[in-house]
Amino acid sequence: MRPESKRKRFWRSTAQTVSRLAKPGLLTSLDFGKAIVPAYVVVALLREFGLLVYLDKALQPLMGLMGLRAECALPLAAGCLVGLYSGTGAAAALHLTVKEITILGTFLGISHSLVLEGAIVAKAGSSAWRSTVLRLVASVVAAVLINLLWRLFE
Amino acid sequence: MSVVSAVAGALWNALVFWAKVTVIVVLLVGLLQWLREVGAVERWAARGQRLARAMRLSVESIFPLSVGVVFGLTYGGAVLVQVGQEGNLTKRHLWLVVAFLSICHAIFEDTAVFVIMGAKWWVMLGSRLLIAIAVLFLLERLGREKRPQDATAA
Repeated sequence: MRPESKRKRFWRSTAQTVSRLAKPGLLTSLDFGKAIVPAYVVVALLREFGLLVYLDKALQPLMGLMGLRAECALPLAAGCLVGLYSGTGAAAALHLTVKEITILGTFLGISHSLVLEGAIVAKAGSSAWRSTVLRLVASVVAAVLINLLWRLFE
Repeated sequence: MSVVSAVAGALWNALVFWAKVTVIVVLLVGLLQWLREVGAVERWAARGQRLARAMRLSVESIFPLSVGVVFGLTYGGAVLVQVGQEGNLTKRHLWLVVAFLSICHAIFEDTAVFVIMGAKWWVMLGSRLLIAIAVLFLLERLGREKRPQDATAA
């Protein structure tokens, strides 16, 4: 058998490296899709048929303090309870402003998958509920601060 | 008919959004995977010891801390569980690490996903880092005042 040319070997090893590095990300994203797509569709349909108006009245005071529309309670709840990518999918369906998505992203970046990650924290030998309370408080503080200071960031 | 087209439209938009997330996740996870393979994390952690002392953290906490900040709680948690079981971290230092990581973990992945929706990345990253450092500082202060009492009780 003829030995491989140098160039051929280079491309083969590059392709191997790329596929090896891309594989975990693709598998992860496949997993994320299961969270993103249903959350997006549910929220988009709720919005389409005007069912979010009721939520608006109930949550306006608290959400207003954080500079968010009451609709944003849906991605917040999905993100905190289910996972960051459910929250992301739900948020993407709402067509938010730059300010709203920044605040929402910061809130969800700090507080997401609280049940699952609480379990990890407990397993590491620390207190799950202290960590969860800390995260929720920090989220609200961050959101209110960004809302108040937004003019500086533009 | 309008219901069908609404569902189809929402589903299509959800898939487009998922495709965007997939691109980001594959690139980022691939990059992080490569960094781990070449041992960059360990090297950075070793260099971070001075920073750890400045933040009043123990040297043992810097590895789980840096892994968690970059890779997320799932990886950071795994390292933390291991370090916790080895018993090299005191309960108090473990809580400090958990508190910091609760607020500030997987900072690249979480941020990137919201940036494709239009969020300002530096506001998200900056606020999370600042709040995490502030919380660490406060908790460290509180812990220090409590310690003499603990000593007399014991």
